[in-house]
Amino acid sequence: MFRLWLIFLLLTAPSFCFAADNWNFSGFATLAANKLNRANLNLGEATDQWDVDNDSKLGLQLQGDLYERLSFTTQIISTGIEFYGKDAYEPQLRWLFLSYQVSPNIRARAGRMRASNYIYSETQDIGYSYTWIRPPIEVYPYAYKPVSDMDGVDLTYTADLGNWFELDSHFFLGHREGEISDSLRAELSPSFGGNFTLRGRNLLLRYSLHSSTIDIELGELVPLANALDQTAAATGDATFRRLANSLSTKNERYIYHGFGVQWDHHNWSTVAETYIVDSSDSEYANDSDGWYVSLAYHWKQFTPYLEVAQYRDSANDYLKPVLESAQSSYGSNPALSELLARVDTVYQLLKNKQRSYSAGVRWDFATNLALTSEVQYFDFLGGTSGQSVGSASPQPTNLTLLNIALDWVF
Amino acid sequence: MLAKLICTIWILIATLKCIPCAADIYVVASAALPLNQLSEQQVRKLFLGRLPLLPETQVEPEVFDLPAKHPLYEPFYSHISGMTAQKLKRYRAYYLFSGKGKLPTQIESREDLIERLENTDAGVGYTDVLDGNDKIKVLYKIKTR
Repeated sequence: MFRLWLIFLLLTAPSFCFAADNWNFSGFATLAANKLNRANLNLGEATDQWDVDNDSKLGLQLQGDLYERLSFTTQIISTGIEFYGKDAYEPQLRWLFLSYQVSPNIRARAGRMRASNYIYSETQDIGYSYTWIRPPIEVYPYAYKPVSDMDGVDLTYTADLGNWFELDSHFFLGHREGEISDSLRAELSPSFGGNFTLRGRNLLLRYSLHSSTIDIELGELVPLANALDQTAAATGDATFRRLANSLSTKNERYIYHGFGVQWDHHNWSTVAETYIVDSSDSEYANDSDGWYVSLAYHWKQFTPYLEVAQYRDSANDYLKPVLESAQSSYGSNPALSELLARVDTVYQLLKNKQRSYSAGVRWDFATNLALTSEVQYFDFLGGTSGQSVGSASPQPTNLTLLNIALDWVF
Repeated sequence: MLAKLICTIWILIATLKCIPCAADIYVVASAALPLNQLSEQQVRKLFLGRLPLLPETQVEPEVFDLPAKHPLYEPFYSHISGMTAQKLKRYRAYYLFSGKGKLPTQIESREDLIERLENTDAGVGYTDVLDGNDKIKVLYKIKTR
């Protein structure tokens, strides 16, 4: 249904725009290069060789007024990251919606939009719109990119609070889905909630409450789940069925809370965000939380900045006592011990904890052009490898990532 | 000698008199617009894209903006939003590409603004020169002194 709606918009809206001779064409581009200090590892697309795929992108946007108060927006983007089960640089539809200004304070939209979890969620791919090379991955993780588009509707109500503040209340309902890897597919449907933004001259406070019913399929774990189910049937022990259920999830509700603050004072700017994802402790549960704090100083065309961020995914922690109890009970059975050890390995792989420290400088050297260089140090905590992926041995406890990016808007 | 002194004093007085005139910035619109004033908050929202319909009129405004290199650009936005030109560019990239709306129409000069306002009923812009033009009206005055 949504696909039909999107195709309809795509086919009809531009013709209205051109007919009205009232349209705006704009775009953005980032040419970036990164290098890790460790071999046999990936952080996103970054490796130990200088490469441009991790943060390079090109986007084109078309906006048109279709009728009084009714407008159309579409954006197509090509990025170097191979997610969504699609090749690098394959064009993707990012925005495609109709917007209607119902009254001075109320705007409604329908179509494809970006998920709005964080302050920079909607411009995550527009490097020019923020100071860093990219928003901190501890709050804007690579793994969430495939499910960051939403097909649905939203409504924004704006109220003036005295002479200094405005409150934006944004409500949405939609459907999100995506392939994180060949074996991991996630679907968030329905996804609904609200974002509340209090905006002053130099201050912004934002709270988000999102609720999603999620299906997660970990394809590579199906044989393990089947083996656990068979063991449950053979032994009559329901523990194995609970462990099997923990390798995928169906119709589980996840609640997300996000809080952000931006504050500008003379030449200083600070931005901080934190979030908590809370899932019910049944089936596959990946409760997670993260935060970052960033401080920047604006001096002429230069903006030096520092940032600290942390992220933790405590996947299936609620089942740890159950697993340990089963390992204790079946320790004398080699086959079952091996089966339970595989479950333990999967749980460890799903866990992540990392902290990062970043320092960089942005140089706005020309109109609509900025050059940013950044050094990031990632500290992997709790015996995990954070968001890095690979076969480095021994498993690294830290990584350094060098970045340089040229951002352009036109 | 006396004539030179009088002339110098006259030039100085005239110059001093003109400086405050040039320092004031006026938010102006077409005289046909059925709206007579804007508050500072409304001006800030209008030029940052957060005022989709003009108050009292329910009309969509067409906002005209001078180029970033124009001498009025930085003092105007510094006054209404507290943003430097670079922060404003970042904000506008954020605003435009997050699908919130369109950016103001860029014009070349004050003269271009006046010409556009005379032909656009819902047009709004800013200038420091009024020249007694009865086809435009002042909605808000910024005293930068």
